[in-house]
Amino acid sequence: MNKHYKLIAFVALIALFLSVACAPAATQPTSAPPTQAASAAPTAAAPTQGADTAPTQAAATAPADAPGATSKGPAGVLRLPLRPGVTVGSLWTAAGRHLDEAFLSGLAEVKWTADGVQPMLAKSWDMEDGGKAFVFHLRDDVKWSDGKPFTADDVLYTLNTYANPKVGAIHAGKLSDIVGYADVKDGKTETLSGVTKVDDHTVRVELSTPTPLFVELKIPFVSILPAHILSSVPADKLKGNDYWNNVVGTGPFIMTKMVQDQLVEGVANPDYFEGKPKLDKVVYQVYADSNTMLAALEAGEIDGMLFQGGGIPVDQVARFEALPNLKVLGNMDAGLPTFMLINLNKDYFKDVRVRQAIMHAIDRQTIIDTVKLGTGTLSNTMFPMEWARAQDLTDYPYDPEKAKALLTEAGWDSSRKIDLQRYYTDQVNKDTVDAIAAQLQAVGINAVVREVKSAEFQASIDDDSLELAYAANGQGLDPSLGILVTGCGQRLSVGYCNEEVDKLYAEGQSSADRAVRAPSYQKISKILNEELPKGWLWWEVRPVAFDTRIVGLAEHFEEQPLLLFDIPVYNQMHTWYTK
Amino acid sequence: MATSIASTETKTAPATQLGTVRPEGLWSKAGRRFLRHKLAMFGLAVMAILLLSAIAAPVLTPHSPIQQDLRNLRKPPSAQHLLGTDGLGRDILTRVLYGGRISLSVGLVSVTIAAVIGIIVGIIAGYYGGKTDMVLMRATDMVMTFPSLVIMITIAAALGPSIFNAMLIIGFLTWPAIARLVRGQFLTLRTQQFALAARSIGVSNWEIAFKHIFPNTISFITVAITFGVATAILMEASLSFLGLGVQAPTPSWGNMLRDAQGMNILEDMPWIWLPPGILIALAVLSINFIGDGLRDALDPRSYL
Amino acid sequence: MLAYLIRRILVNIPLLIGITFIVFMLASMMPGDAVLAMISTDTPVSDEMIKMRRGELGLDLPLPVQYLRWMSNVVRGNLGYSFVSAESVSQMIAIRIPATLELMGVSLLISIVLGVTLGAISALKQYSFTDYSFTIFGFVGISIPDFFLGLILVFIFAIKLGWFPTSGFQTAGQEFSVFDNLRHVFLPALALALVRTAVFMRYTRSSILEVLGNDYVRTARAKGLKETIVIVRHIMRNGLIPVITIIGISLGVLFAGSVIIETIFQWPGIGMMFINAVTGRDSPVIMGYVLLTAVIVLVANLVTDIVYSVADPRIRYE
Repeated sequence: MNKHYKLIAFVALIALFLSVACAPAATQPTSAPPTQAASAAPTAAAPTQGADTAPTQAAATAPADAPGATSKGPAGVLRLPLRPGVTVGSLWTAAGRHLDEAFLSGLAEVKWTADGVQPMLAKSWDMEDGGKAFVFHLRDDVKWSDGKPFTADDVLYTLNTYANPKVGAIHAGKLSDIVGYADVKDGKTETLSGVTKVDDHTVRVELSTPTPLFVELKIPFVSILPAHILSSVPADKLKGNDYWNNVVGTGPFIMTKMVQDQLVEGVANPDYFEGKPKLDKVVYQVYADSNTMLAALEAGEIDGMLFQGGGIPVDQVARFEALPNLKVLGNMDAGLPTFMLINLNKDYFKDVRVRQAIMHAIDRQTIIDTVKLGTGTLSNTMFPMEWARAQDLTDYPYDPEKAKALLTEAGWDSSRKIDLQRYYTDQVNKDTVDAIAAQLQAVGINAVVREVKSAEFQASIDDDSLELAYAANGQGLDPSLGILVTGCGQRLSVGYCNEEVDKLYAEGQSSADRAVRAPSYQKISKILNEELPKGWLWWEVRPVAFDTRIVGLAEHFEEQPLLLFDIPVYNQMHTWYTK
Repeated sequence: MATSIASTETKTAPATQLGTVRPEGLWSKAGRRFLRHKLAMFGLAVMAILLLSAIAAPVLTPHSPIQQDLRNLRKPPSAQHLLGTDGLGRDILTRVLYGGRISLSVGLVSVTIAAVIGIIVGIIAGYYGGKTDMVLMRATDMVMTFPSLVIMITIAAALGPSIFNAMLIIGFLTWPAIARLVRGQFLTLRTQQFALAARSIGVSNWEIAFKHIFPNTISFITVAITFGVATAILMEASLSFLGLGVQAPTPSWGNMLRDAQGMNILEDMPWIWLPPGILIALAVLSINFIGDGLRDALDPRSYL
Repeated sequence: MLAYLIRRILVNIPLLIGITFIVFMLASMMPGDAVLAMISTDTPVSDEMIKMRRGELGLDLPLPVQYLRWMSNVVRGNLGYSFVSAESVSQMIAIRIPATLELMGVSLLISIVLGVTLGAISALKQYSFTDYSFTIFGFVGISIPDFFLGLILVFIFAIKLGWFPTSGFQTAGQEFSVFDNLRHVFLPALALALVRTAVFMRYTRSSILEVLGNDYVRTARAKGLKETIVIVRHIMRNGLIPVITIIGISLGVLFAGSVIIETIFQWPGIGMMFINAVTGRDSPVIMGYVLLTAVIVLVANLVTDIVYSVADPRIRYE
């Protein structure tokens, strides 16, 4: 008997592991099978795949028995994932727009096709003096979900609230062009003098500088709040107010349940001004961990994976494409310039040759081809939209010898340890940064990767301890957003300041006409390409996936040319329905 | 957080098993009992292999644990890479061997830290008793009351993640068990005949403590330390899982296992997570077997 | 007994102050603050806004002052307000603690039932094949990191077999039902339980082995009592007393374990709240959580001692 237990111990252990390792071999393909199956009827889809795939995969492509293969969602109910913290309210968290989409509305919202804005609570607006003032004509047929009518007072209240420093709204800065903003910011008053009520359904907004794109670029960030409920709440008590657990809104759905960090539920708003939603119910399920979110999607417990949580990691796209109930948009342009954030306040990064060396040291194309599985587009400047980029940009091909030479010329001290921060935690980004670090080390830049939390990364900007970081910044909406990363004195500029760039950004906003705006941004793109305030890497792709049982969801995202990060987008949610 | 069996068991042990001054020949008797303990011998053999292969890692493998090969990433086992490659084309076999160095040394170093603090605190509290004992034991209670993982997460977030911080944190959180054990032994032993006799002939307090009483507690400490190593290895894995442990590119079993969180890797690329997973389990299992064997061999109750 | 109780409770007060002070200092040492943690790096935000938000939270006071402020509020029964959501921390805990207690309760139940049964069988069949296999099963359970065990359970039982949901507290979009909720709690509770089962098993085994050797067991058998009666009335009853101790000790470990398991399984309890608070640098929530767990663990230790003394008449407290 004694002889046995050594063996049993070992066998038990190995068996446990192997049971996991082997079970899968029978059910899942290792590489990407054709994706068309996803658009076919879910019940019939599974068998159709096996026929046209390579023999090696044939045995592996029949996930019909896998529970994740068939969607189990209840009819009339849409279930979407959210990250924790979003439930605080859109005033304080950029991602709050995901809830606003269902429960609140703006004056105007960005169209899902990303080509302009959709009139919402404002049915139209007039621009005066080339953008010095806007007059919004509000709809008069909109009711709050508690039955009270929506009026100009709500708009006034909302704009004042967004600007009020006691509220601490995350998008307060979007209103900085409104006359009287400075006074509100300094606490002299709580009312924007530039916002006036013309009548119950007309609001006039005066701006201090002409901003022709005010409605397109600023207004979508503001969700209109009900004055009749909130105006009695002091500004500094707004956050944490019970209102956020029982949102009274003008959106397609009415909030019925909110459990912080767990779920938010809503039912169709029969009086929604765009028409009663076809869905009966919407449920947002909160996930703290993106792997948990992915597992839930695979098991058919949620109906989609947006970029909340990072979307589908590129190395898992094939896995999700194999699920017949899912439509995976595997190559979704994220409008996301990704770059090496370089602290230009550090003397040793001030020499442009050092930054050039960083560009030449990183084998960007190979990383894209291998670690990133071919996703992403190599970039040599910032703007993700082609019209904003100059044609004659300098390329920085992989050339470690040149990088070494440049470093020598610049007198680089290769014994200096350089801290390289990474705040992404998914496997592909982890591997990407490790690959970059190894390539930098190979030319004599002793970069050591450190995983940080977002707060820690931000703190290193504040105390100037930042050296290098692997960072990205969503700019899908408009190149004017780039000023927050490359403008003088901006947080993420970390020491970069070129007054000409700032001037060009101002020029770029002086017109609503793309043809007029383009030259300014193209000039900026050239300067950023030459001066390398950041080490430009690539424009990211963020795959997303949706259950096809929800008609309209995947279809809208398919038409969306790029993902708009945390920007309120009008997705016609009320037209979606379940099969 | 998984704690080893004994770290909890030993906490309560002194209440019932105190007071035996071991007869001559204890160690050889214990040694014989230990050798007869099959599971312990199995554990010892496995640990010996793991330790040796970690030490001899550079000899056992031609690869470097951090050398990347982007054109050959996530490749299944082959003649060139016996256990395949990871997400950056690094040789998994090499990484588990070198990772063993890190994981095992985190285990050993943190337990050493815990043992040193625990023994000193335990001796002082147990020997002097009274107010000193009271104060030290409250401090011990305090550390014991911290949910260890909670405090680990907070400390790691405050100090920043690194292998040394991992060792320090684990060490500083696990000493109370040892301190209590030593103290319990001392409280009992200091009133025993041999200690009283030594005092009556004018032997100094410290000499009594170290030369006479301390050796009698070694068996208990050994058992506690053994289980402590297992706990520490698991703690390192948990810290690494939260991104607060050993940092890339340095491999540890914990952070290698963390790389396998995606269902795609779990299902399609077992060669990435099986080796570190099996080695963690095997190491912890072996150490627990050894600890079990030691306890059976050294515990007076096992005479029953 | 009463004097002993009062003394034990009094001793715990400086302990709690010490724990909270240390955690407070640690929490403030974490790089970055709540305002910075709220910024998404993908979305550009101006410096101006950050200053605004800092002022709003008043993060600029000296640390000891902040601590004293917190402490004086705690004494008055106020745990403060979350930096992130401005919710009352006591309310946040009150909402989430039932989920954590449910998870811990179910997991404790699983590990006790499993551990005591296997342990008792092991003891009664000492040195048999069964004994060895159970022992090894128990040891394997504690040898796998809990996060990985959780992952494997999800993979096998939720993704591959589809028997249980992958995560969450209840099925999204459905009315709450106890059955649905129990289906959700099973996997996380099992992950948490397997790690503890070995402890109960080993304890039960050794404790029953000790009892087996006692005279009263032999007497009972000699009297010709049925074997089942001997086992239930005499062996189990006396053998399980020491097991009570472990339940108390387990609480602290369970709290710690639930932090990771709750995160993996999206179980909306206080463990997940704590992890989110650490990431969000939400120190009032961190402090609230630590205070709560410390109190619970201390109380559990106290209760364990008392129950133990009631169950075992040999133990008397002066």
